[in-house]
Amino acid sequence: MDGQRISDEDLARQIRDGNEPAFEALVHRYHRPLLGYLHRMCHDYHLSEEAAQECFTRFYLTRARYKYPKPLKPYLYAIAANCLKDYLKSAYARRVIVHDPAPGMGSGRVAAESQAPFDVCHGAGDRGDPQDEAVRRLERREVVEAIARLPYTYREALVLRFYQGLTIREISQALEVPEGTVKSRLFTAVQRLKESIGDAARPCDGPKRTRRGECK
Amino acid sequence: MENILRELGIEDDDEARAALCMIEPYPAPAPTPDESTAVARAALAAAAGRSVSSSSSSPALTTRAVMLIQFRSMGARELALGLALFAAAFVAVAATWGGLLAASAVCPLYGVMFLLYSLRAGYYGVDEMESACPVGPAQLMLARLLVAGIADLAAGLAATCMVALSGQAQPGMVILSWIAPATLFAGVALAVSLEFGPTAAIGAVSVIGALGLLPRGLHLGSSPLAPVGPGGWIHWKLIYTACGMGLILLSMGKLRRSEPCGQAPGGGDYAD
Repeated sequence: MDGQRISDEDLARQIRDGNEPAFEALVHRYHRPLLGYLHRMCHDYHLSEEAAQECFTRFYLTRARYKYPKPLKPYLYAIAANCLKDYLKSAYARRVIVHDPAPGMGSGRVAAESQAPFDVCHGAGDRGDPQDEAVRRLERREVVEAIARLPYTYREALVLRFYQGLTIREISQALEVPEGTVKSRLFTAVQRLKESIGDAARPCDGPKRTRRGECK
Repeated sequence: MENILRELGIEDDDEARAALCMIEPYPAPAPTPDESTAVARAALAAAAGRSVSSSSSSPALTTRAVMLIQFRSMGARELALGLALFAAAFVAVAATWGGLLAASAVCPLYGVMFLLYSLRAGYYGVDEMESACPVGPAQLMLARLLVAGIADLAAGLAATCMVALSGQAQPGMVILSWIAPATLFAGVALAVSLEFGPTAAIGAVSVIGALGLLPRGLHLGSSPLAPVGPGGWIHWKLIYTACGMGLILLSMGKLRRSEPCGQAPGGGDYAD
């Protein structure tokens, strides 16, 4: 059925023409990725929920500005990035967020699959041991803090490329910066992560691993 | 991950691979389909509400309106205090060193202080309003410039009238005495502020002002704050005016090139 799936751009064109069910379909398609992006950027569940809804609201309100067949994905991420910046500038964010660099870990729900322990590089066979689980939680927190410590622009590039799977070109369109700048931000982000995580990072055995940690 | 490493040209960097490997399972919220439906409906409802309010009740915020906001939000007390300080400084300098020097040294500093004050919207609580309004940052900056320019012009003309009426100097000389440093300082303040922020601009202008105010500097025709003397020095004033105008024009060009928030994806007014 995937072959028959209507493209994002066609969906956006229908929304531009006032088709509300198409809008609902688009939200179903992009709610999770945008929420993931926003949550990874601000580490606050409620703020990312609000920003995600605001992003869809803005897209709907400014739907007439969408130029078909411009790629929709970077366009939506651009709106999300702008929404998040507005929210982070707001009084609420200044008061509430980011006294703790990784406060979102305790707030709200996270994906069941993301609750999978930090077994990507460490093997997945010892999930039952509470002590190991505690260690894995500690490591996960350390990683989230390492990412949260990255400067905003580097974190933005890393999250979009690494977690959201956008290409360099798409990130460049979303952030409205040259592709070279995106690459340089990514490179710096990786270098800083290396320094930040340091010894905690253990080399993988092979280049290809699944999200669950099994080596291919 | 391998693609990323390859794109960055660090496919042989095991430490980078390990760092990326380590951060791979970063938790993120996973909304259910019902929650996505609820978000879609809420977004549609919010959009409908905003369309109604933007089309029926609130008029578009124009640059003129923003300019008025700048005036009104500064508060009459601050304006009165600024004017009183300016008048006191002007009278004190005029009584000691003459009206021409007062006009050339005090007027531009007053204007520049006004400009720097207005560049920092946070000082007087307009930043929240500004971040919510659909006018872009460039228009806001130009509006502030206009406000600062008007304030400086008013102060300078008042000083010119006082000095000219007392017969100490020709009005043209007085005007040139204060307009050259005012333009230079405004240009430097604006250019530095756009590049490095208002705090750096305050520093830059303070340094130039301090150098110009040195007793030796004031007696040199090349000091930006020196009054126009009978023996020439007009060319220095013209050079400073030209430099200041050049910096202002460059900065304005930069401001105009910056994208107004109305054109950014998801930004601007929602009247359409």
